[in-house]
Amino acid sequence: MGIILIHILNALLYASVLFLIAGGLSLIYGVMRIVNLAHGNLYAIGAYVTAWVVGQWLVGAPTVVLYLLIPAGALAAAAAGAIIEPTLLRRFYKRAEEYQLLVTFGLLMILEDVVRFIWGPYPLSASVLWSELGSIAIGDALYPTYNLLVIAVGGVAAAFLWVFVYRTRFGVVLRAASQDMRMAAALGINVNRVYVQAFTLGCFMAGLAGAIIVPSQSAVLGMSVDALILAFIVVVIGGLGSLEGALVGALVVGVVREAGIALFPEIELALLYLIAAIVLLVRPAGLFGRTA
Amino acid sequence: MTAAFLSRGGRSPVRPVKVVASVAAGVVLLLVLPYLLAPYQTLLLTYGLVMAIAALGFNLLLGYTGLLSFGHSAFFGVGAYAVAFMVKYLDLASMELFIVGATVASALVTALFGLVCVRYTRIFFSILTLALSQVLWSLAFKFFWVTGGTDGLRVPTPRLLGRAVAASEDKTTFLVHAYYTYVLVLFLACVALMWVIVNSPFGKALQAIRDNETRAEFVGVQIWRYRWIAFMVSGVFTGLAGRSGCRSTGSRPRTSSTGRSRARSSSWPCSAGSGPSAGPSSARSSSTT
Repeated sequence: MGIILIHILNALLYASVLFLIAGGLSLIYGVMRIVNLAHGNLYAIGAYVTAWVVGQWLVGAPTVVLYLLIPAGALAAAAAGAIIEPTLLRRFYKRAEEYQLLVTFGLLMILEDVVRFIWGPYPLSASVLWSELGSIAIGDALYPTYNLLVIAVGGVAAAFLWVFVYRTRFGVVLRAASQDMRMAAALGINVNRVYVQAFTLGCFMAGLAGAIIVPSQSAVLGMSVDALILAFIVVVIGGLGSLEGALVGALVVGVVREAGIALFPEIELALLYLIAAIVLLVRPAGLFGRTA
Repeated sequence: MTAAFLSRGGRSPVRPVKVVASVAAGVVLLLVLPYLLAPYQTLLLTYGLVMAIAALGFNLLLGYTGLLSFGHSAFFGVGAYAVAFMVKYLDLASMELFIVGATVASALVTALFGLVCVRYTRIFFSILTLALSQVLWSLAFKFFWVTGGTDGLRVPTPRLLGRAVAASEDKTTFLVHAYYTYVLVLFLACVALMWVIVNSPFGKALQAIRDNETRAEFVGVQIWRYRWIAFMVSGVFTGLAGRSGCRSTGSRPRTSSTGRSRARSSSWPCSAGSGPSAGPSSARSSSTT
């Protein structure tokens, strides 16, 4: 019984991190119609910055301070997003999709090397936060308490985002701009500002995902591409541009991945990609997607 | 009007003499470079030619058909692994047989992938090719008793036209001269073949599809079939490149991994490689166009 519960918690852990990454990716696509291939790098930046602040810069500081500094990574990613959108991406909205994919792919390579340049090739760790919380007994098994915190953050973020998008004025503007950018502009909405805000918010979510997961893993090179691919699977299953889709897709991927690791570890990754391919074949727009 | 029409659809006519002269100059330069450069740079150049072959294939799809594939690296990997398997299970070492094997293997895989992928275009095509290539990557990564996983498979230096590295000969010399020339000839053959393809009625049909799908269909072009064949041709070129790339890297035991680095290059960096170098090589192929 305890083991099953552990598996479920692990699936939720994957799902909450994936939701944060894929939700940001989906939000950005929903508003700007641009698939940001460099999204995984924002996740990596979040992880690296938090790991650097907690594990190197302020090592030895009171633990409470360190816990409060976890969001530093998310803020760094948001700042990077606020710079990238107006300077680089804005020029490409009117171009064909291939150019957007290519330019964000180039950004992916550049940011990957920037991270390597700044922090070097060795993994950064913030595991002090992870070990500090210890573990709790669930049934007859032990489970790291920090992982429960990550699940909680994922859940709170999902709820917060829902309120933000569906219950605030900014959310109304955001949805209006995503439905019809020209009409929104005609009604007096500063679309460029909405774009920056949406992109920054999406990057903040990706950075938050990296920041909260880094104590239990560590920040390594290549984490960006891994996260991007998984986020792609999530949005393909859920539908590009849909937040509900990102939530459901993240849960599906989390559960499938956990079950795959437990039952048939050799094809665990292939299984995920196959599910994504099947969804694309049967419902190209995803489970919750709007038809393109 | 007909004259302008006949000479490549309105573009300013290019003088054939000029084209032949510049191509010949390029070929001569490539032929003498190994004697001018340090061996290491020639090895890099060999790899550049290999990537250029891959880019030729990639460009047929992106430049001429308008489909951006993120899965081409998978075909590069298929070519490389086909050769590695031929070494491992059939104990072959002949470059010519490798070429045949890699061509057949990549044709089979691309035919299968193509059937699935060409039903979609634009973003969905890109994501679908990415997903399928990741399936191959994760299989290569996980089935280490077949593929060697992250260690990869060792591929010894092949025999070129029946000629192996002589016992007295330095392997670097062999790679820098015999192998380089072999790859260069292969590359030139690929460029010529691609030139024929893009200037054939088939190539024109692809460009028609890229420019206006509806009209092309109206004229009677069977779109998915043309896209499918273009996908296959493109993948086979990339597979060929994988075969030669596997040789120039795999022949050195130190980096003999056709595994994660290769399969990884098969997932991302290679498509990065094809992206930018699609430029030079498309410039090359279109300068001959």
